[in-house]
Amino acid sequence: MAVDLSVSFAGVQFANPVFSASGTYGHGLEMSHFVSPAKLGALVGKTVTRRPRPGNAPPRMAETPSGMLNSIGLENRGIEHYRKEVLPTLRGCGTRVISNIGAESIDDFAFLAEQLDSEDGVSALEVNLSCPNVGGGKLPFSTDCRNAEAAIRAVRERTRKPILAKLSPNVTSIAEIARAVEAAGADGITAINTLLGMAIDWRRRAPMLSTTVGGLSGPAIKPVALRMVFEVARAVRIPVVAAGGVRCADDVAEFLVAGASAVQVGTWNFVDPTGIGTIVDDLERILEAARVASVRSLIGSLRSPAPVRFEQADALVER
Amino acid sequence: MAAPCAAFRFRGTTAAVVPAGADGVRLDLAVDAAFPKVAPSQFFMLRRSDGGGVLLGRPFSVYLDRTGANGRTLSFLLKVMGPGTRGLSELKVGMSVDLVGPLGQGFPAVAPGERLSCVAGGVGIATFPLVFEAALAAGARAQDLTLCFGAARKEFLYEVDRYRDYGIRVRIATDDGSAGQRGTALDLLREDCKNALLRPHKVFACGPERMLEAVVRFAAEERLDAYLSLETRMGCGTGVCNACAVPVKPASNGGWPVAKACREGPVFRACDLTLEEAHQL
Ligand SMILES: Cc1cc2nc3c(=O)[nH]c(=O)nc-3n(C[C@H](O)[C@H](O)[C@H](O)COP(=O)(O)OP(=O)(O)OC[C@H]3O[C@@H](n4cnc5c(N)ncnc54)[C@H](O)[C@@H]3O)c2cc1C
Ligand SMILES: Cc1cc2nc3c(=O)[nH]c(=O)nc-3n(C[C@H](O)[C@H](O)[C@H](O)COP(=O)(O)O)c2cc1C
Ligand code: FES
Repeated sequence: MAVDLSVSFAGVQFANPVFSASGTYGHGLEMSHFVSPAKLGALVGKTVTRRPRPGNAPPRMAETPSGMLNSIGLENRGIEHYRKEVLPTLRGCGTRVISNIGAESIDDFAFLAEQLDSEDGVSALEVNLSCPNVGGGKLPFSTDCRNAEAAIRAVRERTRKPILAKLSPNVTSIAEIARAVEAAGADGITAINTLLGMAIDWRRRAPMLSTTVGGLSGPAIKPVALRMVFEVARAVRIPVVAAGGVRCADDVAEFLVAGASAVQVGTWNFVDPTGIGTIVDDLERILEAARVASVRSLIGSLRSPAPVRFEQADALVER
Repeated sequence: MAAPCAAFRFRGTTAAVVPAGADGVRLDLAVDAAFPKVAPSQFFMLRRSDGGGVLLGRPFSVYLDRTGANGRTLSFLLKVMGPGTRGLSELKVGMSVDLVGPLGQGFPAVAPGERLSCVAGGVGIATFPLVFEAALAAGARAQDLTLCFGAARKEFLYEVDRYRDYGIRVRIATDDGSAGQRGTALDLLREDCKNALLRPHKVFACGPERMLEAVVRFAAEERLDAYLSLETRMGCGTGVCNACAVPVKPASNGGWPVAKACREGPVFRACDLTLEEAHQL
């Protein structure tokens, strides 16, 4: 029995549900000697911004228990370089390309969407909402429904390509933000970006990162990501793409059952640059062993013993 | 634009863990004999296959690369700093280690007739055995190669006896005078620079931040052609996490003000580093 790994959403067909996560796999073919891009469901690029950004001062990362903190600061050479130097190298790479865009103003989001709309090699746009909204008082777009909605609406108006809105977990209710971006015309939601965290070297009385706080990723965040993917999938009709702590095929299957239509692998690419390929192979193997004929049958198949009311879940959990 | 990372991921088997100095080990890993050649001062990301209690691999210079009756052995010299290095130092013979490499750009080649001084501080020595072997193999005369090896105390002069066998000039300094002369590795270089017959054409340096800072300043004053191997914190080693940023003069890096220590480095020309970097090193 061959397992059908293909998934299809937002009008796009993907060979399998395993994607790279933005910022962990380069912009283009950096990892192609380790794993053929054709092996992945999609290559998701690192966030590209309107203008070049050199990023934050070092140190930019620190390992923490079962995870890591980063404060890269969206280092990238800007959309012009991306279109001229990166996208051409991805033509014919054998998989779907999803470009991730980030901006500090609605105008820049609109500009980026327009720039990429004509790029045939790009299958979808992922909109990184975890950037400070400089015009709107420095709060990230992702933490306010109206800001998130405005950003997605601006992108929607400038492109016919499918849009994935990438949400931050650092919010009171991710479901509310999810509903806001759905209303603004997003075709799907990626959840989650990194969790705000901190690490300290007490002997030096100093933070481990130059920015003091940074984004937590890796296996440590998987339970949080699973809960949020589940919560978002319940709140909206559009598909959800999961990210957060994936390191093996079982993790992928868990996210699919929680309601994800595809799953991104991030920090694990640093641990094992060939790991994402192993995950695709293993996914087929474990589904075959479990007699699952199509990966699609897993999506949202969780049998929840009791209906979960997320507004009250916090109070219900025993601590 | 970022070309594909040309490294490999493969598994090695612990062949020996030999104590080195007061706080280090030499880790010998048996690897496939067919594994491609490793250039001097390239590095590998090492991670115990059982994780060893940490998530990410850690970067280490390749120390020795030997092919013998027992096959190919890659060796690493590790100073125990924290959980990653502790886990690796506690490996037992037969346990496996995941390697990603060879990574990075090493020191430039040394032309025959050029005098080279290698300034090593503590475990910074790990990058140099293959540098000397390559220079000698390329026709350099042993008397043109100098090692200025410095450490806080005698116990941190890891496997110091190895270097005399190359026939090169070996000079030793310790902060407390417990071996060699009292002082630093840079003091040794400073002395050589006063003698026209010993003054090096090229200086390679690897060691703690403060030593490298001092080498950068000294090289600028003396107009020496110096290259440093930086031990920047790394996430992936393969060029995709952007954690290993080193501020550089844009002209040296295709117009971009930050270089990746894992791709463009770990070796940088001293004059390409920006001054702020000299303080952040
Ligand atoms: C290209 C390269 C080659 C290297 N070669 C060698 C080698 O041959 N032998 C060797 O012993 N070490 C080498 N290092 C340094 C080695 O990678 C670190 O000591 C190791 O990552 C520390 O991990 P840990 O978990 O043991 O300690 P951690 O808990 O990560 O760190 C312990 C302490 O060391 C500091 N630290 C962590 N990483 C670094 C670093 N990269 N540089 C300086 N300080 C750091 C931390 O801030 C902390 O204070 C190299 C580093 C690089 C980038
Ligand atoms: C070093 C690093 C850089 C990242 N850069 C980006 C980025 O540029 N844009 C983005 O949307 N997400 C970025 N992320 C977040 C990841 O795409 C992903 O959402 C998150 O890390 C959770 O997945 P993981 O636990 O599998 O890493 C980055 C994560 C890491 C660790
Ligand atoms: S260590 Fe990840 S980019 Fe250099």
